Amino acid sequence: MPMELPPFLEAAATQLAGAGAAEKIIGYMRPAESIMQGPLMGAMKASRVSFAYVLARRMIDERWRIALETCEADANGQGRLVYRISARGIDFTYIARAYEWDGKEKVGRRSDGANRDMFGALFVGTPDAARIEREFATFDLKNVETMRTDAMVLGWTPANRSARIFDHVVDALVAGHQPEPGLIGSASAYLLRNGGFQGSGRNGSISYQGIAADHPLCHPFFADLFGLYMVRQVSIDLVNAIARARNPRAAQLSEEVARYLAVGNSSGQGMCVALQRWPHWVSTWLTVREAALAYAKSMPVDAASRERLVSLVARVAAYCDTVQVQSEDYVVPNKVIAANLRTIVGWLDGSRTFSLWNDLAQAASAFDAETQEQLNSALIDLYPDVSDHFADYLVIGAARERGVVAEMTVGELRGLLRKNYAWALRYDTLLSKTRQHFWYHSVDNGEQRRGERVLDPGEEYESFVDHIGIVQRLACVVASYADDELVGELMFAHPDLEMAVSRVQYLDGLPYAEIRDNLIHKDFVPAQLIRFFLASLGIECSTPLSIRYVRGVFFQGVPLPAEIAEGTTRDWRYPAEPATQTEMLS
Amino acid sequence: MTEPTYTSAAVSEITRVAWWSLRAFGCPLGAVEAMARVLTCSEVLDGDTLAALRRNEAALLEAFSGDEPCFDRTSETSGVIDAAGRSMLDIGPRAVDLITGLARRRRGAVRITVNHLADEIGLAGTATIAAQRGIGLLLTNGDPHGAWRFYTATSGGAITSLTSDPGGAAIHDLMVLLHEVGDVPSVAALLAADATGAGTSALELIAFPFVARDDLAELAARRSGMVCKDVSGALRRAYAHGVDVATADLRFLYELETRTWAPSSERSRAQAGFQAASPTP
Repeated sequence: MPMELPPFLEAAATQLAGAGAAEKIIGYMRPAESIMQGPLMGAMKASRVSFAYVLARRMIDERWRIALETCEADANGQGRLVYRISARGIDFTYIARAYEWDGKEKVGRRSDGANRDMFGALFVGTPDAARIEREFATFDLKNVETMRTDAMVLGWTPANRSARIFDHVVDALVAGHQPEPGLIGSASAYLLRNGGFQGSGRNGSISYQGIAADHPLCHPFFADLFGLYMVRQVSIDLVNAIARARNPRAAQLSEEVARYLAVGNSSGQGMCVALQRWPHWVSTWLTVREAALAYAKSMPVDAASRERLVSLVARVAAYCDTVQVQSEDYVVPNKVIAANLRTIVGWLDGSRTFSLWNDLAQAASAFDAETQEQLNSALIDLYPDVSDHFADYLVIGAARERGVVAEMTVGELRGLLRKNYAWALRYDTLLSKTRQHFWYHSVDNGEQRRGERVLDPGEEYESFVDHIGIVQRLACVVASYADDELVGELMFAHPDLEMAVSRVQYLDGLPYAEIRDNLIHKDFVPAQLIRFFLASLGIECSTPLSIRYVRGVFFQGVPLPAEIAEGTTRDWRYPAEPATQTEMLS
Repeated sequence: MTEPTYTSAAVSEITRVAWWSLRAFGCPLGAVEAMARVLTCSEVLDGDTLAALRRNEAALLEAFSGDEPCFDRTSETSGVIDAAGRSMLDIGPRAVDLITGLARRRRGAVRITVNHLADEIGLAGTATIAAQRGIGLLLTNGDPHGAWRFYTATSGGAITSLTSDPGGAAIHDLMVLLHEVGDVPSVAALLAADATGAGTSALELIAFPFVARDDLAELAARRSGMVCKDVSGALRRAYAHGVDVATADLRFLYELETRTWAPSSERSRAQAGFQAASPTP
């Protein structure tokens, strides 16, 4: 498929870099066939154009105000916190309800239902005390079948404690000192771990399309991610409050330590289903990323940009070197990436010369895919004006509407199949291993799982992940239609092809929409696509704990509310763990 | 605690759950997207759609596995659908694809008679989809003096429905109004034609490419005998504020969804990936 930029990005490129810029960028963009496979997508890293970073920049640039209005916590860990937020002239509210720990680690599965260590609610506006009380009462039901909210709420933020360090941190504060150096880093630097944002209509919360256009969180994934930021803030305020409840003279987390904290995240294979369900999201994220990267690659290497890249890559290498994760199966170990990045720093420090950044990217192709993608993320950072402007397309691309173009002829539809899906039509699905798995919802609260055909029950209700299969079936059926017959006529006789037809039609012109991998293949590794989704959101340190389950952190190092309100200019990414001195009670 | 009679549900919640609930009725996976959209839209616009699922559960289960409907094209501009006793929820999206395709391709009016429909669940949602595609869609029972509904969109994309009051405006009055607010292709012959259907409870669909001027609602309000509804506004409000549905109906929608969930087992739990052992490097 010939590469083209969407009109917004074409205009943005021309505005920022003059006539011919769009063509130049296109010349450096990677073709879809080279990046749209699970292993490479799974190697991609968070970058400046990932949602969490776009949100954090906006919060800082617009100096959002986040104030802790009330914080009640007892010595056992029961707590209620209410925050008021003001951004762009709009006020909204976040509340959190923390529960006494039952001694059991909850990994954050959907099957955990309401069994969480914390629930939060992000309100669209400013509810009164009675409304807040109702939401707390709903949380206290702790029953997924009866817990309901309404359109005043953007979503719920269930979260769970880090079984490894939450209590240790509280104990240290109660004893009057900061957690010992190395403790927080040893447990992936978080006290609370996201249990899956429940918004966009879930439990009766407001639909995404219902959020007012001028609301600061009216942007794909902003509500989800701001909810995560607030969970991170709750983790800080909660340990302080519990410690205070146990000892009025307890120490409070130092700003240095608090800033180093992240919010943990664990995600399962349901994310792969979402990627298949919303392929125009995939296209949007990758188009922004690849266009920003292509722009950087097209630029000449000069002293200033080289210095910036050296500084950033060295910092990323240091971060990779110190970060401690639970498992490094299926991934390139962080220490390997760190070593490779240091080699690249060495090149930039004078051992090699490059005229364009593309030359550096070419030289780095000798390394593994994860190192290359980490470098790519750093390159995207070199030209923030361009990347940030391109990131504005994240909203526009996500709004693409899906529907059947009924007046199209079957001949034209066949043309689209030939143009865009030759890769899928050539795929051999006759081998049993190519169709070995089906994906389904289980009675464990609908948790997404993967079964083996014939062996496992539930195949008749399999989730949609088999895009290759539906495209092949569509191609077979249209073979019996004349070119001048209409898609509308095809749809009447074969309504089961509606999903396939609308997909083929609405994705035309989007080169990065389709994942060129077979998700029902015996050897498909869901963790790769989970990592891709999470990197697009802005996760760092993502590591699969199994082939279907990925952990990592968001917002590590992100400014605290006071810094955000002041519009800090600190580059907070890839922080080093503070070597805090232990400070005992006097 | 007493359960409330009504519950605020989100538009996207109904759509998301309906994806699975409709499959429990036998709706094929590939057709569920359009059908779920039709279902939700109809609940917002007319209400009683989720309730109808509950009321008609047995009939719907039977209909989805019944005979296939068929379309007989009787001329360049007309045809007959035999719905074979299926629900409008099933026939509606197909019929809209068919009639909008034909009308847009020939850039003129097309009339389709639908016979042997089991019900009219999802009628408003079906017509809304046609309007979103730049089609004016007239729904009647074949009687030029009987009740009618008309759906259209303005150039700005605002969808409006016009409905005749009982004993109110005739189709002729509607046509006069439409000529004032847009370019209407010739539909007189189609309106005059006898219904081709042999069955009872026939539904007549007349579709033509049509974009109304923005003052359609204002002009319609001055006419007597017809009711004008701001469909886009109703959908917008529902997205922003939710839609009140009977708690029992919403619970039924969720209950249907759970019928598509596979039983759990240790093997199944392991397949979620949490207990899987790390591989040997």
